[in-house]
Amino acid sequence: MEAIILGFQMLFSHPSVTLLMVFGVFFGIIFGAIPGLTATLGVMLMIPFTFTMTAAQGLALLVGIYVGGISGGLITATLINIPGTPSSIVTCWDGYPMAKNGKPSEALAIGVFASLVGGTFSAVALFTIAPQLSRVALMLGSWDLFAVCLMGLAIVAVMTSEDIIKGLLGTLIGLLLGTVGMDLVLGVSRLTFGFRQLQGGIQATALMMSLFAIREIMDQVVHLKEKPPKMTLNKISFLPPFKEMKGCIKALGIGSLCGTFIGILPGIGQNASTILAYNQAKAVSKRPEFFGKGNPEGICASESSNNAVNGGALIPLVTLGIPGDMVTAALIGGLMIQGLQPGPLLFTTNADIVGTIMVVYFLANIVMYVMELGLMKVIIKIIEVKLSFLFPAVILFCVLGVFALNNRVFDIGILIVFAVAGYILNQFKIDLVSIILGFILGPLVEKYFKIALIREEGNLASIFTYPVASVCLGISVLFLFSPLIMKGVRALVRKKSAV
Amino acid sequence: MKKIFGVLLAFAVTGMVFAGGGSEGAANYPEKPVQCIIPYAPGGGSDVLTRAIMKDIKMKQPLVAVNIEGGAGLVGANQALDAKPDGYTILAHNPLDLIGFDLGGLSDVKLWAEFETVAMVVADYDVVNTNKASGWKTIEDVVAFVKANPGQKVKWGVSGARSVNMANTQRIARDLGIFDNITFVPYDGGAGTRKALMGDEVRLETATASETKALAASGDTIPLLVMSEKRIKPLPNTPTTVEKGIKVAIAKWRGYFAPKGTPKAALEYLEKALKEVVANSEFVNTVENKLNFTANFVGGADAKAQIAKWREEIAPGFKDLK
Repeated sequence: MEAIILGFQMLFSHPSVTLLMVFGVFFGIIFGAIPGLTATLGVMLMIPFTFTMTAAQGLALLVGIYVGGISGGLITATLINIPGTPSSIVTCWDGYPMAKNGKPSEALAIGVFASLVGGTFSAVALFTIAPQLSRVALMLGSWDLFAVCLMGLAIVAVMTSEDIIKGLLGTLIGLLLGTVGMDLVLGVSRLTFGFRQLQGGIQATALMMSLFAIREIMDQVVHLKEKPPKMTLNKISFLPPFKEMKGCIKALGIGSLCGTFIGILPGIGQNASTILAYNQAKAVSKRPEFFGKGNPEGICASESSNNAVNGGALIPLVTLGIPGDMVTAALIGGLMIQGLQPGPLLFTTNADIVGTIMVVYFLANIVMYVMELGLMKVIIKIIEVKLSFLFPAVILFCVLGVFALNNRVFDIGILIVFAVAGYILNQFKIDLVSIILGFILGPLVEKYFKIALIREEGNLASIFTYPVASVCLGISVLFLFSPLIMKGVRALVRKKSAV
Repeated sequence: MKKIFGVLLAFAVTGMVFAGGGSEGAANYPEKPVQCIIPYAPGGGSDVLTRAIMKDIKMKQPLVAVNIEGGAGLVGANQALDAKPDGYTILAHNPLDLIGFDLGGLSDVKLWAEFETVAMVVADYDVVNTNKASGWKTIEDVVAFVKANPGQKVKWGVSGARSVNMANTQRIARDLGIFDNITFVPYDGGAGTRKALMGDEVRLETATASETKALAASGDTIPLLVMSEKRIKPLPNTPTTVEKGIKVAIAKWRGYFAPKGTPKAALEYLEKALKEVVANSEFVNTVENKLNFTANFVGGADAKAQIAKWREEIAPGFKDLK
């Protein structure tokens, strides 16, 4: 609590910190909103500048970019069905249909509001129970994390697709793509086909932008000659259209909880979180059949969970000094160059800095909300731009963004190859999002499996001595075999009624 | 016929390039910014160090950092290897990692030998740590525990399965006579072992001193043994391997490398510039008091000889990896 007060003090006594945070949010929104330029890239570009700032200034800037960048992706996702940043892939599913149904400004307002809710929820968790939550994260061993990731895979493989076989097929392709490169524990190079550039695996941003931005453009150009659906702009108010948001509280709750928890666990990240939250929201919704057709609940689940991940990822950072993702790893570097030692002691030795991180994160969410709604009038003009002008620009930025992450032309090749592959797979109705989830979770499942197995000296049965792992494993099995089980149950019922 | 002609042409072109590079490049080097490949993500130890050097180095043209991450540092190293050897691309790397890529069979090229070694600038040290739950205070406590409980395997977390970190850890365990009672658990890097140690998934960990210092200060991690000859500044109260009669004392240096064939003048220029940085007291302060490294300059030729010697020393450990 003292840290939070110190954090506020820092902000009030150093207006530059606040200004940099506001600038960071703005910069982040721009980066997030342009497909191909991601929050990660925005942070990477700004890190060198933070080395000459004070610790508070640098952290404020980076946290601002992080928050703005993750939220900004919803704009193009909603208006042209192209995610601005990979974490808003899921926002397309309901955001774009809702915009097409004549409610673009409502869809945006709901998305921005959900970002605020998710961000604020995780900020509150950060303020109040960060130490407890980080202890929970430490308690989860390799078997537990293995089972948690496996459960995520099972749920999505079964639930996202109408056809479970196609869902499983997509997951399988994703798993296969995830094995490319050196494995995370033993360092064996796999499926690199002699390309040294593949030793680090397929670049995630290139893969996601190819499947969801370039592929989407390929889908849409077919209809370029047809008249685009006329979107009419309604008035934008600072309050979201509450009457549209019936039943959204549950979706917001699920998204925020799911995001915060996944943020605490290392390596899973925003993409997997939005997919899982979306499926859960669909499962408990009163009108699941309306999902994918412009249901505000879908937007809420996706956008609240991706922003909640940010706050979740800050929890192990401030309490233990352990990074959860690339951005928080960068924050650690920023702390060290200022002579601060990230670790459990940071809370006591540098309470002002910890407080600043927390307060800046909280305020950045509010700034993001106000700024996005304020900019909405300008942003929404995108839909008046002819798609034949917009698409080339989007492709250009995708190429630029993918190249800039690692300064490699090779990754542009990845972008092209997988756009074509994605187009073909999409024609066969193979679920592209299960590919992404397989690609993200596959390597984690494998890593934790190997570590756990080595630790237990090859004893597979030892997984049942871990309660969390056992429960998750049970749920995965239930999900995977749910079609068979349901079939059996139905047959049984029929038999009984026949008798 | 066509082939021979092609080869001849290639030779001619290469010759021209070399001649050109030799005559004008030497005198005025550098004429444009020098790109430094950092094979890890922004914000990591290697990255922060290079940025600190960029700030204090005095060159005619700036040093520019490019992060190329992936494959635990292998991808960036390969990119540097394939870069044009004109002195405008250099690589920041850990010599021990380069040796590890070779010995662990991760790379078919002997990277440590292929590169021109510009210099080594700072050293980090590997440290054996335990956690609060173990109740151990010294390395003798560990040995005593193992001797008293021969049936119980102690879990020891390391970074990577076929790495120098693992090989050195196993050498230490052998020297302590507890090798057979240890399960070595490889994680993907320092953050992984740190979390495992704090969550009591492993009882021992081999990490670097720069990562350990903050956790040792809070008491969450208890450093038992530093792999070094003399006591080190970041952990002055922790005994060293040599003190305890263990011969494993290889420091984790951070160095700078250039693709093979880089003009001599460029290498000398860079080496001199790096030497001046390490003599700069402000830089030393940043490195030692903020980043927990130990500043110490080793010139290119000496560094290369030293790295070859380390490889000889570590190689048998890789054969015995289990």
